[in-house]
Amino acid sequence: MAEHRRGGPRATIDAGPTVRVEMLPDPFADPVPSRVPRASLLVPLLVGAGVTVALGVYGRTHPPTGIAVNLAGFSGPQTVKVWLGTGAAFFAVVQVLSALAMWGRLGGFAPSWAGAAHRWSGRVAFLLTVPVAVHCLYALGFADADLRTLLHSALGCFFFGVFTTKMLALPKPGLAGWVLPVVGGVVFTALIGVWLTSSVWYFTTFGVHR
Amino acid sequence: MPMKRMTPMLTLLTGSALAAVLFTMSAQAAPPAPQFRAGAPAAPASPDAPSPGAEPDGPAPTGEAADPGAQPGVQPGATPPAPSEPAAPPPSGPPSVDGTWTGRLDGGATIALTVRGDRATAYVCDGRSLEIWVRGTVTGGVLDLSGADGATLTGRIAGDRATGEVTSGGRTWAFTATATGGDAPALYRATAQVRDAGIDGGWILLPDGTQTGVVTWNGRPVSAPPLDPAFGTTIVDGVRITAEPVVPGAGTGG
Repeated sequence: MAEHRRGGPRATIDAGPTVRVEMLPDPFADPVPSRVPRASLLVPLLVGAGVTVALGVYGRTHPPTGIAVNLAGFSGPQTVKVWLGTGAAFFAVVQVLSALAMWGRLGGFAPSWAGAAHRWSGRVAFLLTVPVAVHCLYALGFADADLRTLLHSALGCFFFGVFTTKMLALPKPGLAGWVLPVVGGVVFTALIGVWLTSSVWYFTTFGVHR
Repeated sequence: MPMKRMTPMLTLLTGSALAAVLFTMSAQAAPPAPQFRAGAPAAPASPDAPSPGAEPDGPAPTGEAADPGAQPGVQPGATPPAPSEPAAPPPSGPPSVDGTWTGRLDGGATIALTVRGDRATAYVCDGRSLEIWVRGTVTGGVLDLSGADGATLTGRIAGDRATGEVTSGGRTWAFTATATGGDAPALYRATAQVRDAGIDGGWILLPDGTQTGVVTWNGRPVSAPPLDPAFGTTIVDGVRITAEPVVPGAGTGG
């Protein structure tokens, strides 16, 4: 990342005094020096797009088995997924609220623990989505039977892509101020879209039960 | 930066590791796909094909998917098979024989036959281990249906009686069935969603209130627990299964 600031035709845009200061070995450094001003989102975006496409291609080409691991305590894989997804959606809402608090957009409510709450609710939400996605991809695959399943499949792949983008963008110093809110908002929107086309659909179709 | 550099990466890695573990466990839990398909006697063709048409609810392809509440098949009491039917709309010309017939094979199994326009679907089951799904056409009351593994049904419909023969696995049975008269659906099948999850099932709800059915559970047919006709659901081994009334001609449904 230190390399982003190095010379180049457009370096004048960001020719601060910190150029070449960070010379620590950076495990996330982009091996190819980027020519983009500020911190580059190129790699996070590319990797995120790659994740999205890879999930979609896998879901489409892998023959769905119809079977995957189940969790105890639920009546079936469907309800497990429905509730895990609902849990993720809940923590996604916590994400938005804690982010608003972090950025002082909740009036005077900006507790010192908002940052920690944001990080942990995000981790929990993400980890809750993983088993659901594995079941979807392994047992069902990318479906386009109707608008709901198509939207769900596409948004599901997109969610993990844009989440990857967010995670890779987070540590980058010097991001434009709008980047994290926008990417975070997209992550939230994608997850809620996935949730609406699965859990909410399930609840309204089959009723709320375990 | 308020965020430590490593933690987002750790989050991603943790998620990936969790996914890898679950994929591995799933791979061990799931039988190889082709074997699983072949095991399902009733619907070898269905796991892939049915997705578009398997929802027997008529107006599926359009906006309905976007409206979660509007899955008509789930509420059998409502109006499921009656209204719009894009696949086979005009009961072209003369006598429409739309309806449902239930009856018996001479071997003792139960049969349900449902007709919409020129399309028909029939289901034969003995309530224990035998189940046969066939679908096909009705031309001037003449039935010509076929199903997996060479199963066939031929016969004719004359008023409220349907008669003919069912052949499957080298055996042939004669059947007689009478019209259920009423709009209530008599033939249910596990939804495409359930079938995608590896479970198939068929239920015949006879006019006298009794019902019979077979659930194919991981390729193994077992006696089906009664279906709650109000919700189209039942519980098998603790797993809730949803079924829908079969509407012939709705793609490959039924």
